[in-house]
Amino acid sequence: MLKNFIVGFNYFCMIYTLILSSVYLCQLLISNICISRDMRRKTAGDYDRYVGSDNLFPVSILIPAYNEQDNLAANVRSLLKLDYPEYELIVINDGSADGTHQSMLQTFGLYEISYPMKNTLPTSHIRGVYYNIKYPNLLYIDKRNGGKSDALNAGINFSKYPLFVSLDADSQLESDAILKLAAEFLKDTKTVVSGGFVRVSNGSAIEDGKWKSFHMPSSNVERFQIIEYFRTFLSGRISWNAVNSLLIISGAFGVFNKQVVVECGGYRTDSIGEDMEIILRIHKYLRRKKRKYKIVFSEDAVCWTQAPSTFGDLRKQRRRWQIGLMNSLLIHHDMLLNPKMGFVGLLAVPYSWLFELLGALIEALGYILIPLSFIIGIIKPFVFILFLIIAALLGIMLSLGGLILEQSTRKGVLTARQCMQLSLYALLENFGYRQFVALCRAEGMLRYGTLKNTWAKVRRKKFNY
Amino acid sequence: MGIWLAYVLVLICIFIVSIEYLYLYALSSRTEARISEYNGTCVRIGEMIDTIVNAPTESSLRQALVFLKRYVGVDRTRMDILSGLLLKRLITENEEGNQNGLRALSAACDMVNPSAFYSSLLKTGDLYDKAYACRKISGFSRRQEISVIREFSHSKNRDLSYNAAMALSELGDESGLIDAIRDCQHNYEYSHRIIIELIQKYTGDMETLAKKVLCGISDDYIKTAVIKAVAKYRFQSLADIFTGLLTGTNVNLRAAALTALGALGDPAFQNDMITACTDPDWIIRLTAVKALKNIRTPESMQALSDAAQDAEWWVRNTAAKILVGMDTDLVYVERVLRNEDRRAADSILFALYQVCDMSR
Repeated sequence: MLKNFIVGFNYFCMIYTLILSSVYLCQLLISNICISRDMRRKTAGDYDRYVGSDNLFPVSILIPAYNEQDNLAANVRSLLKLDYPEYELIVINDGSADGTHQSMLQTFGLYEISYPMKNTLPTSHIRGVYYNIKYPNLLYIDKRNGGKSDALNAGINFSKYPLFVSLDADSQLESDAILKLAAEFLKDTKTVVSGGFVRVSNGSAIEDGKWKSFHMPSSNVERFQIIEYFRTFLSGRISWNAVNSLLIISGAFGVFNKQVVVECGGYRTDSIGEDMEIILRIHKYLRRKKRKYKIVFSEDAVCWTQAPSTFGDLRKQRRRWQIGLMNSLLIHHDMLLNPKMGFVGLLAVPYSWLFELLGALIEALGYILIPLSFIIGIIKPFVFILFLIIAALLGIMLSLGGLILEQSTRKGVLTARQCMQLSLYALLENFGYRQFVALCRAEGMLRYGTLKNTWAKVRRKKFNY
Repeated sequence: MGIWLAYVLVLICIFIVSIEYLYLYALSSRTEARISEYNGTCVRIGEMIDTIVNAPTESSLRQALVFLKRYVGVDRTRMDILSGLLLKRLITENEEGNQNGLRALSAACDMVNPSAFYSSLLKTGDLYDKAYACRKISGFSRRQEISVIREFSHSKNRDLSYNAAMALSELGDESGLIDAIRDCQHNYEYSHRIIIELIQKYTGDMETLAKKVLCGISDDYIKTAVIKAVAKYRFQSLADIFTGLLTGTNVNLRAAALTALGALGDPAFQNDMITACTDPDWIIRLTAVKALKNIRTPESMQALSDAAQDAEWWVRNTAAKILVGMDTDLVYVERVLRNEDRRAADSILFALYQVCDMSR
């Protein structure tokens, strides 16, 4: 009985790996076509005309922060120099237990003011609103801890502009990133959300929103993540964008139509994957209302984020992401194979269930059962080795594809030498890293009940300003 | 059989991975070389322009021009860099009033003739090249190409039609621009902000254009955008059109008309705005409050202090901010603060925080 199960599972794993890899390869090809088209379209791009114009949408940049004393003040200072005609910066301290609050007050000389509250969305208690006339577009809100979603809702309540940017406190924007995303709202009134390309900042020096140089980060875990981000953003996001079926706009950097988010009820405070949940809810709400809309991804708008530099932190992060994914998919389970949800319900959501969510469990189980069946002699050694080789080769193919897509964007961040160095990591990540990540994701699913509703902070290094 | 298939699969994968490696190597080397060449070209052309601007004699100027022409040739990248730098430099020299520099730069334009290069791109390039060429041609004010650009403004490709319309606006082509705006009636995909930008970049007679567009177009969305675009130019001659729109049913159009009347700053229209301050629609009330910003009379101040007690957050806070900015004697501000309405007082306090340094 057990033997039959293991043999059956082995066959299932092989077929699953082949199907998954074929899907990823299709995504890679679609993304390649989209990037080539976008590179041509960029010639006609005219977004920079709006730099000095009053006609660009003003934006409210919301920065929810929890225990961010190391980076927050410096990041806010850099954002105050942003090249954007009209914006406000709203920093929301979500009851940090470290020196974040004091650091903000001291760095910017903020003082408490009485602010006429607008209770559009319910949030936990606001302890104080701080301001300094020297920084007229900076507003700092100190509130009781309620989670990232709650902090974002508070930010929405205080914001005054029609678009808001959700930005992680540990992320840095390229100076024209918001401009490029806001231009999407100008070009097409159907756009309700636009998201940018989140790149790993480890090893890069960024000065006043301009990338300066790149040196290979010191740890292997950081190098692997650089490859992984290329694959995820440039292959996954771009291909889903092509069919207007993006299910996630990274919480690190996205621009939202405030009215639509408010109509949807704001961010759900009981959800851990707020970035995916809000997008799923927007899809559902607008499709039910039969409103035409677009959720777009632009690889040209870049945000730099710090990736975890230790395996311990990576484990925490990936667990959290998987819990967020599971949480969002469970909340919106009615979208699965729902024809009223169009492509999103028939393609993107099933894909997320099958390959993103359950894939983690299947992969992790495969890592245990396939070697086990080899050890107890259910599969022959050369079949086992052959399967490992095929799985590794498919993985390498996809990772190299991600790297090729990055080079196709012609950003010039990596030199040819660095690119070839990273390609080595595209090869190595299949021997340990991928398995580790799969196990972390599976752990997240198994510990769903105990780990949800936490900020799960990851230690960050100071930015290389 | 299965094993043989697996072997074939392995071989296919190895083949694809090898191809990927080779392609990646070629691509990354090419990208690196291209970026380095681009940066080098920028520096080189920049230096050549410096030499031209600072040429001490006619012969050295002529020599520098010949050298520039030979270097740029018909290379697209070099021409793009040159045209960008030339336009930037022309603006700088014009601001500094350097007549010699301007003359030298004009000679460079005549010699290398980037506008002719982009004119040919209008005919030979693909859709995106044509869109780009439209922009460049408007930068060089090459009016000969207006008829071609007019055709492009009706293109189904939105990148091309947008760039063509913007070029017509910058070239001051009235009828071409009106046609392009009329086309927008059938294409609501553009934000109204793009239509405003389109109008505000117009280099011809704005007043005539506004009149023609407002009288010739019936679409409320376009009309609203046009009124918003021309509001800042304060054309008194359009006041009748604006007041006529105040009684309509379209909220956005009424709001735009109020904004335009407010921009005129004429107390003759203050009653329209004061009446609008009590409109049932809060967007109209908010716009009326903003419109009163330019009319400083006791009646308008009273209307603003009443609006500071409005039930709607946006109206209340905007009125408070404007009142604090206008009421230098703080008579009306104090009156609102003494009032029992705490929300109004909070709005005034916040407005005061925004203008006074309270840290001391």
